[in-house]
Amino acid sequence: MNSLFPILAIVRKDISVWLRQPTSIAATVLPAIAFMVILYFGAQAVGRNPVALVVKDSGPHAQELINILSDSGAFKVAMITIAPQKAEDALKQVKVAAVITIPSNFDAAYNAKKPDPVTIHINNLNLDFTNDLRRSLPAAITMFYAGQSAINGNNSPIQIRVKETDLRSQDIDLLRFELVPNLVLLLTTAGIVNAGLATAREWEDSTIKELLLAPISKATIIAGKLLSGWITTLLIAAVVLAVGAASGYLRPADTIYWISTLVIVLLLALASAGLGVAIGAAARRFQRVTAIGIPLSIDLFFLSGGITVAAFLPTWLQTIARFVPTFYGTHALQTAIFYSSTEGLALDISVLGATALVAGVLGVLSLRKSMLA
Amino acid sequence: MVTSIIIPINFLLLFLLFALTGGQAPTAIVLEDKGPYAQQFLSAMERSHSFIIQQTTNADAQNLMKKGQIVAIVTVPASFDSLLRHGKQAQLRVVLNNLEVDFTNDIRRAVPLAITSFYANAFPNQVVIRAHEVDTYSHDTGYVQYLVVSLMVVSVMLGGLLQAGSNAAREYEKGTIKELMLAPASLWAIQIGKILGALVLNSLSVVVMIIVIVFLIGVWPEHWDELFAFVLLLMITFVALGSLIGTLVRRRQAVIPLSIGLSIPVFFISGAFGPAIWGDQVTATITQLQPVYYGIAIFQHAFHNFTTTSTSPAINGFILAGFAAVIVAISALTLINGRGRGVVH
Repeated sequence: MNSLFPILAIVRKDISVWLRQPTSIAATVLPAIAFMVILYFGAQAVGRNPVALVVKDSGPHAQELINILSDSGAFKVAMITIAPQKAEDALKQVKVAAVITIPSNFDAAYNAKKPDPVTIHINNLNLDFTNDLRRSLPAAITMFYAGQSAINGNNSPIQIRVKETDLRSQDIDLLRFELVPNLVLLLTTAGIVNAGLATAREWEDSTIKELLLAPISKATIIAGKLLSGWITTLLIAAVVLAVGAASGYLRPADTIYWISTLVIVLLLALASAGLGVAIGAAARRFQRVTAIGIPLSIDLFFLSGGITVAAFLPTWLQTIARFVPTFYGTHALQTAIFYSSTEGLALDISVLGATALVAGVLGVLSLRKSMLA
Repeated sequence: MVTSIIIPINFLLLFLLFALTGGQAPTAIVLEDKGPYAQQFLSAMERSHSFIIQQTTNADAQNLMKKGQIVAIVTVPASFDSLLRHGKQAQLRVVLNNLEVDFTNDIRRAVPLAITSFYANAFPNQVVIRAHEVDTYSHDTGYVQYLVVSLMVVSVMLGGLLQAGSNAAREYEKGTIKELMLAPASLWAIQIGKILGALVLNSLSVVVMIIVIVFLIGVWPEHWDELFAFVLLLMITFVALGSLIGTLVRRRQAVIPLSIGLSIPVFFISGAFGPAIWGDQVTATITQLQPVYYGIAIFQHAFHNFTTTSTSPAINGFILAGFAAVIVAISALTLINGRGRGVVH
């Protein structure tokens, strides 16, 4: 009980100082905001390349293919013309990514079952865009044949049908999916930077002397620092979760998934705060804390999936990701919030619990060492 | 100084990890039929630029899916060859770990692509419509090779902002700005001197990045002269911007998050992954108001001889020079106008 009041005093002081320091708040939220901006713009542009269509045949089959290409989720038809030069100029001026030309004998060749090539001229700047375009025209041709199948029944030349089974009840769009790693980034940045700055401040402002001369134990000081870092991080998490739940973007479907979400957030915040105290006590300077803390948080963010989907990474990179604690936090949160599942939750909680413990011990040892020095 | 070298390099390597996904889905294919059509279908999938394929048994495929090592299982049924030979319908079973819609849709499009290209080869008289591809450039450029050039621009930006921003803020933190202000030299000369100093220090980080990109990653510039000329211009621009930020915030603690927070979104909207004008129109218009857009275009030309903007490389160079001149002037004027603001305590 004797230690409780000094601990609470340290917590109150650290939180008050944090609230009065706009640069600390900026350091916490800026990286996450930056990535949110990225995600927003990324989600707008993904997979919809502008193309020009050159239509030299006005027959019904050609028209059908044009309709399929125009409605395709893979293209953004920026121009439909009968003048090939106009389309080629647009390609040269980088206004479109490709020119698709439907030849003048398209319908005749199709009806005569003769080779009927549709030309796609691709600005093959890089494989990501180029492969999207390479996939998209054949996909449209397949849809064309599927349409013929609907008209002609089993007379369609393509007799392979796809039976798709999805493992998840819903597809999550890119923006929503990436909100979770972004939340994890916010938690790690908040924990590491805030707890780090609050600890380093005692040396930077020379107030560590007063703390050491105060009639309280070193354990009390350490507990106060850890607790203040944890609470500051949780304050930020609470705001994000409240906004996420209110907007529906981050709303677990059931009480049990709310509980698992909160447990994961608590553990992530504790691990980050412990690491922050360790870095702050070792660095003892604001600039060093931000120079180490922010890149470290971003490293963890990328290595745990970051702005992509971890399952699509090469196997060797997935193996590395499994050694990164935030990977488990991201996985557990995505599973609970989006898929209403507890798949792998025991492992996720175990890894995060162990990480929080190790980070806490590191924080204690680092702070203790610096105080003794 | 270490910060201004390590942080940009760190970013460069991290973003490259992001590029490694490359839009190809780790997929298991289970051939219950080993006949020639089934083999041809497997080849069509391998040529579709969409899958990283492992041929496995059904049990192994389920196990890989459970471990999260693949995102799709495609099963070619036992009667595949016989059904197709007799013109009957064959059902291809596709199980998807539909974690996120964009990646999942890539698979949903790629399976029909494989089917169509399989038919075009196996039954050329039945499926007569096919895509005939003509490429603008004689060879494809890998995503990593493209992205690394854009990353170099953001690394130059980040290095410049961190170096010059910290230098400028340090003068206020240490109180040495007073001595500079009282020195018998014009404030223009002082700010230009500070920019030049930061430029020299920043050049170390730029040299390290060029070594990493050219010698480690192996992306060789096609126009070395353009590379050196424009890297200098970009350094001047971003070092001046860093000095401006440092002069405004006057705290090194704030320079790092501000620099990172500014660099990352600007990088993303500037056409880092492909021409910005292919994206959303509003973003494409806004991005033309800042230098990173032109920097990326110029560097893509210097390294790959690519044109990624509707303006020519020469025009892009002039615009970039204009940005550099304006930012240097604003930076110096900010120091002059802020002389009464004193030091940070």
